[in-house]
Amino acid sequence: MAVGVWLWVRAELRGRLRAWLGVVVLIGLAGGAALAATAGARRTASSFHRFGEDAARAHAVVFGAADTDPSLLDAVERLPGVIGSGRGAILLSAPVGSGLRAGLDVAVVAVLDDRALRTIERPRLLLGRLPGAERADEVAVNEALARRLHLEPGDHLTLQGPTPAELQACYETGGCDRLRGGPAARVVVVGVTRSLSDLDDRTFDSFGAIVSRAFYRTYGERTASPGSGLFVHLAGGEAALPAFRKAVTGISEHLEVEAGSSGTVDDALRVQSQGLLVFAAAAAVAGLVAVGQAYARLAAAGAAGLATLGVLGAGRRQRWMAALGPVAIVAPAGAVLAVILAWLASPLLPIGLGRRAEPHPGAAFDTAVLLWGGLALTAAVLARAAVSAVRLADAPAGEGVPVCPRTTRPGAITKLLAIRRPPPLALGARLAVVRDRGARAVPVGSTLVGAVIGVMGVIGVLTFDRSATQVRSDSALYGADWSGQVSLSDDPRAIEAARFAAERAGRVDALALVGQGRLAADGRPDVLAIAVEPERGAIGATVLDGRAPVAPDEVLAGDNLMRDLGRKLGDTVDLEGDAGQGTYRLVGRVSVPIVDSDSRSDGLVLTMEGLERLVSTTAGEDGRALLVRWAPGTELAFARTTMEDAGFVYDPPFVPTEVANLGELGAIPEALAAFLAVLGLVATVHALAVTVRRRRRDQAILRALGLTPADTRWTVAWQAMTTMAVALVTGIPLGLVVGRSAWSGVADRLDLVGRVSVPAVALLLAVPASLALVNLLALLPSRAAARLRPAVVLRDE
Amino acid sequence: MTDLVVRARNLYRTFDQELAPVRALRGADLVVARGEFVAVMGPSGCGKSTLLNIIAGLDSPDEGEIEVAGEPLGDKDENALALMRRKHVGIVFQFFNLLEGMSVLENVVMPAVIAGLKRRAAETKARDLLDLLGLGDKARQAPGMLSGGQRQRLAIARALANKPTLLLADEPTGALDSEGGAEVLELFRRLHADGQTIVLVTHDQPVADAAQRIVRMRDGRVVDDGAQAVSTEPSTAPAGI
Repeated sequence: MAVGVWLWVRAELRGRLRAWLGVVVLIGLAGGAALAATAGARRTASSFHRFGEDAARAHAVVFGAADTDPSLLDAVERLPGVIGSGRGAILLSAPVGSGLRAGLDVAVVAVLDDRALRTIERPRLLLGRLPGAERADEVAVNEALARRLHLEPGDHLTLQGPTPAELQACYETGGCDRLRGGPAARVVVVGVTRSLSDLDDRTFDSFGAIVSRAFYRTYGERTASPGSGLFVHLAGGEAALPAFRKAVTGISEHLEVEAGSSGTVDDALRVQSQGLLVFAAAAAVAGLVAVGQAYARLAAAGAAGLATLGVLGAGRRQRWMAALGPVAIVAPAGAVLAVILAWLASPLLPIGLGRRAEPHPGAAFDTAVLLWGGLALTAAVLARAAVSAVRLADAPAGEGVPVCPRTTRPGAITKLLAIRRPPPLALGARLAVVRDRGARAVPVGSTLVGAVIGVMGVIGVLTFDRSATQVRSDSALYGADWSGQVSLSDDPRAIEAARFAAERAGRVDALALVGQGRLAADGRPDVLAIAVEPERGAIGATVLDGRAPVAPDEVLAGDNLMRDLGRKLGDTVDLEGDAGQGTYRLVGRVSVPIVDSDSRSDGLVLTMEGLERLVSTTAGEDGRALLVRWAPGTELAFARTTMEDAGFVYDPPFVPTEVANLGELGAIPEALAAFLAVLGLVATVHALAVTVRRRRRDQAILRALGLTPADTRWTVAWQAMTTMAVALVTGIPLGLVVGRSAWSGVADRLDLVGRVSVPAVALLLAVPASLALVNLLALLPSRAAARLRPAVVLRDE
Repeated sequence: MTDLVVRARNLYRTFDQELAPVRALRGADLVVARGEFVAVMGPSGCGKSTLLNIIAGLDSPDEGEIEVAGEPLGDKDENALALMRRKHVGIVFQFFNLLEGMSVLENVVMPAVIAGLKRRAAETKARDLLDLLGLGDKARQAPGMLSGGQRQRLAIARALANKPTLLLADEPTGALDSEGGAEVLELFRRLHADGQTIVLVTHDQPVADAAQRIVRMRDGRVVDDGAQAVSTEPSTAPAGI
């Protein structure tokens, strides 16, 4: 009988070769998309790590006191576990006429030996080369600077910054309006680079340049510099960092150790990678549904043949094998196609930051994903088909798929859609929602589910994406309810001068002075505490739960801190600073404003009076800050320039890393929305095509009863529009709920204000656009239905 | 006065098949007067169903002229033919061709609604017809729940929904047992007695005997139009030989 089964399978494949090839292509496309996205996700997640390996990433940077005693760095280099090092220095210098601020916007790294940036922390050369060690007139710029100033090898620029004395004066007196007294160095661009730190420092403009030790010798003494440092590669990697830090402190307590480029890039890539995995999962599920539909259709068409096999003596098992046989050949073929397509698509991934971090862009064959994924794809398709095959095999011999007419009363939906004028409307609506049975059955359920998922997915993804976009453009949603902050010394004259400059720079909507301090909270040391004292208008921290502090003994806390302390709203917390201690009541959860690099989840927000009770000065380590919110309509660029021309360091709100990470999703949400939209449309068009074929007898009868070809076309159009209407009516609210829930969950986890932004334009366009599109796609099936010859159909059937 | 419902002259129809063309009609002529009950008889493949389809406007001849209720069909497009069917033609098929997804009542309502009647009026009319044909208590049921004879009676009720000028029946008893067949033929006789023009296609002599006139076909032509048996006004059409 096995031979008989094989002969049947072969005949089935030969007889409907094009249809089965269509299934192969379907498996290939859906599987290819899923495998490509999965491989892309893995590649994205590992890209920065691989870049680091290629670049011999520094695990630590040691600085401080090295300029006064260079032998300290010699001692660090001799520490056990240090297997590579290189020396460099930062120069506060910037291209003249670029509008970039030395030290703030641009980091100029001088290479001080033969190892830094060559054997350790090696940048990737995108164009040209690094400056020659003995060439004081050469510079390599990073790609951000090259793009900003339209530089390429051979171009010239002039680097200039403040003198050490000017910088000192700026720190001490706030007189930062003259910071260009250093030597002007005319240099030629010899290369364009991408280094690990270019990827790492994404929340700020990361413009960078590399100069030689000859440059440093020529200009270093007369140009301000925070000092030189040592890049260190550790045998134990990042895990060895705490021990290394301890050993360095043992050499000199004035030496500081910073971790090398790391964390934030991995976080951002994780977001991107997870987005791709969501895409892969959606593609896999959608593909499996589509393949299942296609197989069910083909299997039903071949049911009569299976029934004949039963008549000839094939048992249930043989009939099951015969039903599954074509899939056993088609599924691996589709999986092979999927693997090939995924490999061909691999140069398109990663995207965004992952693409920049990828050390080996281009085609890549991820053996683990593509081979195991291909096998999993084959197994999944076979499993899906096996379920349908059981149903076919269970049909009694000689019957195949039930083709008997309906013997039950029409259902409630049928009654609801009573036949009335115009007949095409009622007929089309019924075709869209009434499945019927046996050979006349059309995939109503899966079509409606597919269309609803399509609409829901599009609206959900767009709601999430729009909310994520809004949070990136509205700093109040992540805790910074202001347009910019002016960094100040603690000198009252500087504060007054800043207020005056702000009034000239634009129409001020609100002003507040920020105080900072370091406190111990319930014994936990070194907690950032901030006090925002509004001077004009309402400005302050963004309260997520509860309310703003009013009394001096009231405090807000970030989410992580509350969790760490095991406190909830209404509880008290003991705070201690260098000037006092007290018990404060938690009145709210807050997104702590970033005025330095602390996490927004970790800090405290108090009233200014409440903070002054605990600390000797509220000026903080980096001085005070004046927060400014400009009135709507203010020219922000002009305001910034005016403040800077007045000698103030003015910055727009710092974008928290987790918020910037949301931007790394790039086009993934749009791609996912487009994919789901296509899924919904394909499901609808598939249903139309199947209906036209399976209900051709009904259409022929209706034509015999007097329905015109035009009526038939309208019947198909109404079917399409009904399907889409059901999808829109159900999918839009569901999509809004899903998008809102997804965004609220993310916002809650990231301590953002979970304000959901509804994609109003998309919603307005969704109804007419989808109805127009589905009508357009219904043209072919409706044309086929209208061209049907009733006499031929009724004779054949 | 001659009152012709069907006038077919020199009809030719060839179907392209994979191996060789099938010449279904080779110069067929037929004339049916108002109120006549005509049975078209002939062996399988003689072209009688093709002739019926052409009269119904479901198919078009390659050559020849065809008029139904005085309207020439040759120059009508598909839409116009559909409108003609609404007004003048009711069709009963051998295998019923009921709309299985609809109730018994809706099967009868459908042609009336297609013809432009409002739902309520169409339903009233359909209920009357179902009562007339003994199916009044089955209105809400699915066609699949009916017996063969009941199904064919339902098909007849549907064909009569628009009070057609002409009732066409293609082997209406072919799928029925003898009892069901007799039931249907009795119905046709009653309809004819009430003045309904009927053209019935069959290969079964006892069925044809129920008709007023028997037209015999062979090889795509009418070989005997049975005109001598007609007691109404004589046909002016040429004999279809």
